[in-house]
Amino acid sequence: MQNVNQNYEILIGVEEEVFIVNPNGFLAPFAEHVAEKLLNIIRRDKKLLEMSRHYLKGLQWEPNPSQLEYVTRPHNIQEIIKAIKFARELLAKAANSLGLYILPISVHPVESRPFPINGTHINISILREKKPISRNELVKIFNHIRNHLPELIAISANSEILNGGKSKYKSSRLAYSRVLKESKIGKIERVRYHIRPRRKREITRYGILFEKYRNKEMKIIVNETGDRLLDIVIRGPYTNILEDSDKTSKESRIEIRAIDNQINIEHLYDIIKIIAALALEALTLDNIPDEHPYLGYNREKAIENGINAKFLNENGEEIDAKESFLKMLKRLTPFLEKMRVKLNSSISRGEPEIENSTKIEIRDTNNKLTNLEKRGVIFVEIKTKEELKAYNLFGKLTKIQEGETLSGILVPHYEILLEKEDGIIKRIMGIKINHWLVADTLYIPLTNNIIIKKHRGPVRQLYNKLKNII
Amino acid sequence: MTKKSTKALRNLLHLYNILYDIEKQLITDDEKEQYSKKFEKVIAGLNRQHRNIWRFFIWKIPFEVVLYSKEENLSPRLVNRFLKALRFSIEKNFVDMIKFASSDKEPPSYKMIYPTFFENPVKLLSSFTFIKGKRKVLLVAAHSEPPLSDKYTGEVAELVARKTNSYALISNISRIYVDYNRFNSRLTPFRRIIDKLVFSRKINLIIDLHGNKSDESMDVEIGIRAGLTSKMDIIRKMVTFFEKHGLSVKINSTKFYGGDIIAYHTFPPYVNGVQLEINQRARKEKVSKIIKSLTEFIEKHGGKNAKR
Repeated sequence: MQNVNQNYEILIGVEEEVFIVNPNGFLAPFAEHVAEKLLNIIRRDKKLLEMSRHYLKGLQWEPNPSQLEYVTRPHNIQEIIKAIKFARELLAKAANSLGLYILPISVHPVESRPFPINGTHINISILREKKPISRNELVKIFNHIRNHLPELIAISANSEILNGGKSKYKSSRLAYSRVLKESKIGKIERVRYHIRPRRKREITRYGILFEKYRNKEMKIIVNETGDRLLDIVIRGPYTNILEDSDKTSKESRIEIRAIDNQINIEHLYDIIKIIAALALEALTLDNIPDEHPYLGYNREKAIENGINAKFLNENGEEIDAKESFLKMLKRLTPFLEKMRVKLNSSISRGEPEIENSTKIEIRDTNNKLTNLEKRGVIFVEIKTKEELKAYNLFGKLTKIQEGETLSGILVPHYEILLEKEDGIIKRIMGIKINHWLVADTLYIPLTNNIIIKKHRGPVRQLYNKLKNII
Repeated sequence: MTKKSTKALRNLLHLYNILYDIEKQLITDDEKEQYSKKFEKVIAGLNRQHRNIWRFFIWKIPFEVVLYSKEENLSPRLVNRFLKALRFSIEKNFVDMIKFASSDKEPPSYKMIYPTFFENPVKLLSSFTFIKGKRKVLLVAAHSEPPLSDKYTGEVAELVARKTNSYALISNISRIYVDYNRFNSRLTPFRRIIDKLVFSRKINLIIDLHGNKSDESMDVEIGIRAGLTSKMDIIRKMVTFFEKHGLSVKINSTKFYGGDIIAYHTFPPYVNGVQLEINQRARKEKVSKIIKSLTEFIEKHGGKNAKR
């Protein structure tokens, strides 16, 4: 271990996608405006520009206009912590100057259905005496971290609440994402070099490279078609990934994409520290580790139940995910000490963010209405059991008498209870759901004191209306 | 396209034909029952074949048709307008279904139409200024409130409306809370008022004012969603007025294609709509020319200044 610490230098790069939200916590599709603002801020402040250049590689917008991603440069563990803090604050400053906030969370608790989805990608590269490590060592680290993905998923799973309700997964991001497929165990193979199949997103495409004649080459294969959009992947010129063929060996790295966004920055730091420690531990192993016999099962359980999952150990015995994680943590303690870092969040006790700061409480005033609305049965006829307030199209208040029958469209109203500070949403405490009835010319906030007389979907409603009209 | 989607598309076509026949008053009393049965079959088929058809429907259906509450007092003219709007919305559905069937993109059927981000529902109910008019023209400034506002669009809408006796709707809430030019604001009072004006035949032209930040683009870019939202002769007439005042104009802008207001509330040739994207420089330096052009255009072609 002494040897490990003396010779190896760990560099970490982080890519984090965040949501741009309005002061009420709802998605604001203005990533482009925030990026433009950020450029203006940096141009005016030379010091800030220098810091940005030091810490960040860049930022880019994502397919959804309310998402923005920053990419840090590779830094050592102490510097990467500063870089993440700097990047979040920089984005928040730009967003805040437009009256907006950033929300570093994987799925929006109300507006993700399940998309848009954010992720955190942690890239880890290791240099030995300033030189890149070998293919063997890369595969060793990859397989070792991959074997511990269930524990990492369990402790970082943080995307349970979406579409205004609880999903059946603790990490719905991993469950629903179309670009986070399961990787296979890393192998080094002699492969034909110049024709390589490549799978791009959902479509299989073939890329053909015309290069110097090399009949066969030693390549690291974690996915036969060279797909890089996996839960964990090796990047760089030693791999069969088409985009990386022109990279230098110094850019060889392991990219872990299975981590949900952590709203609390300390949790993200701790996860990075654990991944770095796992990489160091891998280098002490004599051989390339084999695949954990129950990796697939454990991964699935971690996505479903997070830290409350039941894993199977190598002997097929059941073990709590928390216990398995704490065991791993205990084993990693000397490596963390060698890196001179400590875990500062509840992760050190095996408690993920979802059990602490991002535990979201859902307060639904009328479950029946929510169920109807989610099924698309949104045209309702109700009878009031008490006097109700109503507003006309111009906001003028009127009253609906008890016993009156009203019909219209059911509209959910969500209120997100949140804590914000310096342009960043620091915590989401809960969601309050109540419903409004949008009638022909009235807006009526609904209470529990109503009787739902009829309900139907839009197609049936259209049919009924047309029948009457005709 | 899946087999079920094809069937759903076929049923939409049937529905379209039935509506067309009714609209053209081809049905005699004897045929009514037969059509009613056909109609029921088509609707049942739609429900069965496409689990998410309701989402397609809700995305394009005119809310006024399904929410209208005074069915007993329906005039033949209003029935006709309902049918036309519905038929046109099915045409829009076709365009979307075909567009998404021919690409690997997910159809917009999974998006919801509700303004889920009602900041404060009560506040939202009075978040706009409505100017009553006499002409059949509506000026809309959906992005007039900062932050992220299209500067001066509110003022232009108000001035032109007052000068020409047109209707105007000017938003008083920033688009960071609610963007009235997006599909998920269709149930907000701002958009429902447009619906009401359209179906009560009080307007037949919507001029949606916006601004872009580019200094290189033309002074005014006219978005008509590839011709789906307006008759071309209205555009040609409008352009002559802009050009008369020395403003450069681009028609059928692809960059500023047209937002949800003109996409949803128009059904040409009966109700036409244009989105005017006025560039930053023109809004600062040529604002009086823009006001003059619009005023003259509306005065000449915006219908009679009739009594309400």
